[in-house]
Amino acid sequence: MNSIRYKLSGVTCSVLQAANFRPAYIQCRLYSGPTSFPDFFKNPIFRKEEQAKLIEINELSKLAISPVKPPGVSETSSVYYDPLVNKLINHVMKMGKKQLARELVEKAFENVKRIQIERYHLASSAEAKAKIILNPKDILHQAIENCRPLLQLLPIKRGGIVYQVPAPITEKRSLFLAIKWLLDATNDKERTIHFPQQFAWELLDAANNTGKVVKRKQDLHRQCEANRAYAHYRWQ
Amino acid sequence: MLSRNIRLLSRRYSQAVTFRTTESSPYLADGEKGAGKSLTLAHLLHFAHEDGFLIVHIPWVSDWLRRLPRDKEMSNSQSREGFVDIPLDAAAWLLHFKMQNQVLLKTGDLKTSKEYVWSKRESTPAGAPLAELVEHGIARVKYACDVIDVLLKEIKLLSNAKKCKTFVAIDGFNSFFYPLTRLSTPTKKKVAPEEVSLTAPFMEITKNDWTNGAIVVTTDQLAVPEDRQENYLPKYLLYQKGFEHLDPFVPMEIGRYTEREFLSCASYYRDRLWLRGPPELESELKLASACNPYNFMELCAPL
Repeated sequence: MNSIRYKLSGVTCSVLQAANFRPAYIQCRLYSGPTSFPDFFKNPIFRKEEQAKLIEINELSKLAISPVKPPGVSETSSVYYDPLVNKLINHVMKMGKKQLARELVEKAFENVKRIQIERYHLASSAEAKAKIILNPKDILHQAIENCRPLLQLLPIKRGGIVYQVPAPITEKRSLFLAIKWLLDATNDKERTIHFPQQFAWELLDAANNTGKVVKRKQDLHRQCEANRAYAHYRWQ
Repeated sequence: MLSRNIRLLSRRYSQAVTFRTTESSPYLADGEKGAGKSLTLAHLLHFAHEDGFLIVHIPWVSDWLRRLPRDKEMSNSQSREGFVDIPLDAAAWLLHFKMQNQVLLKTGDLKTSKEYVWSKRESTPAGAPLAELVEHGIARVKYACDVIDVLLKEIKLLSNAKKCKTFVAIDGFNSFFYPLTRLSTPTKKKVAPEEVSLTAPFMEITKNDWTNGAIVVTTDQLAVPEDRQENYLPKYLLYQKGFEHLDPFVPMEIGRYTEREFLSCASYYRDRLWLRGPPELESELKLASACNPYNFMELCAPL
C-alpha cells in the first residue's frame, strides 16, 4: 500500500494509491494499542475461507509453526461474523461496557427486523415484497454505504485566516465519520425513547437514503462544492 | 408462538382428562429457567378451553405477592382478622376469570348454593348465577377478595356435583410458599403469604379432595428472589409445607428441546422470516443456546 504523506502547517493527510486496495476495516490490526506480544507475532487467521485460501497456496503450514497472536473475543469463525458489526459495537461502547453495547446493538437489529417484517407483510405486490430487505445486517451495510462522505473539509491557515478546504478522505476515516454521525443522530433522541429504538429508525432512514445523517453528508458535500476555489491551498 | 411437541402435550392432557375419576392429583410442571413451562401451560389452557372446561387460571402468582410495594394497594381484610387484602389485583383477576369463561358463565347451569351477605344492603341470594357473583366482585372492589374465596368454594361444590368440569392452572405456585412477600400491612409490618387473603382460596382449590377437574401447577425459579434460586427442583422451591400440600402429585419435567423440537422451532422461525442464513447455522445455534428454548429465542433475535 503506497501512501504519500503531506505535511501542511501541522495537518497531515495521506492519499492512498494502490492497485488492489483491501477495505481498511477488515484489516488485520486487531489490537489498537501495544500488546504484550512482540512485533514478530503474526495476526491470527480465524476465518475458514481465509484458511482455505492459505491451504491452496501452501502457506498455512508455515503460519502454523510461527508464533501467532490470539484472536479477540468477538473474532469468531461463526457464520454470523461481521467485522462491521464489531466495529459498530466498539463505537457504541462507553466506559468499557462491551456487554451493554452489544445488547443495545442486538436489540436495535431486532427492532429493524420487526419493522421490516411488518412492512413485508403489509406490502401488497410481490415486487414490493422483493424490494424490502429483511436482514438487519444488510440494512446496516446499506446505511453505512449511504452515509459515507466522499470528501472532507480540512481547516488550513493562510494569511491569518482559516479556510475550510475540501480534501480527499480515506476509507477508514469515511467509515468512522459514517458511524459517528449515525450515533450522534441517535443520541439526539427524546428522553423517553430508548437507544435501540431510535438507532433502528436511523438505520432504516439511512438505508432508504433519507433522514438526518444522509442530510448531514449531503450538506458536507455541498459545502465542499462551495469551497472548491480553495482546493489549491492544500499545496503551497 | 413456539411449537412444542404436540404429541407430548396431547398425551399429558389426555392423562389429565382421564385421571380425574375419583380424586384428581395435581400435575406439577417443573424445569429450569426458560425451558417452556409457562408456554406448556398456555397450550394446556387452549386444549381445556376447546373441551369446555371451566378455567381457573393465575397467569403469574408473583405479580400479586412480589410486585413493587409502591404500586400496590393493600388494605386490612374485613372478614378475616389480621389478613391483608389486595383489592385491585383481586378485581383484575375476576375480570380475567370472566373473560376466560364467558361462554360457560352465560350458558352453563352454574348457581350458588347459599346466600352471601356482604353488607347491610348488599347480598347475593342462593341460586343466583355465578356470573352475578363475579360481577359483584368486579363492581365492588372492596369485597373482591372475599368474592374470590366464595367463588372458588362454589366451583368446588359444582365440580363435585358434576355440573361443570374445572381446569385449574397456576403459574409460579412456589411463590405462595416463600416466607416473605413484598406486601406489608398499613402499619408497615412485613407480611407472609399465609396472611394474604388471596392465598387461602387457591390453597383450597389445589387440594385433592374434589373430583371432576384437573389441576396443573408450575414451580419456577424466577417466582422467588435471587437468594432462593439455586435449584429448579420442586422439593427445593416448594419448601416442606408446599410439598406436603401438593403431595401426591404427578411431576412433569419440562426439559430442553430435543432434536426434533429444535428443528421444528428453527424451521418455524425461518417460515416466519425471523431467522435467515445458511443451514450450518442451526448446529451453531444449537450449541450456543444448549437447546434451551429461551436462550435460542434470545440468540435468534438479532440475526
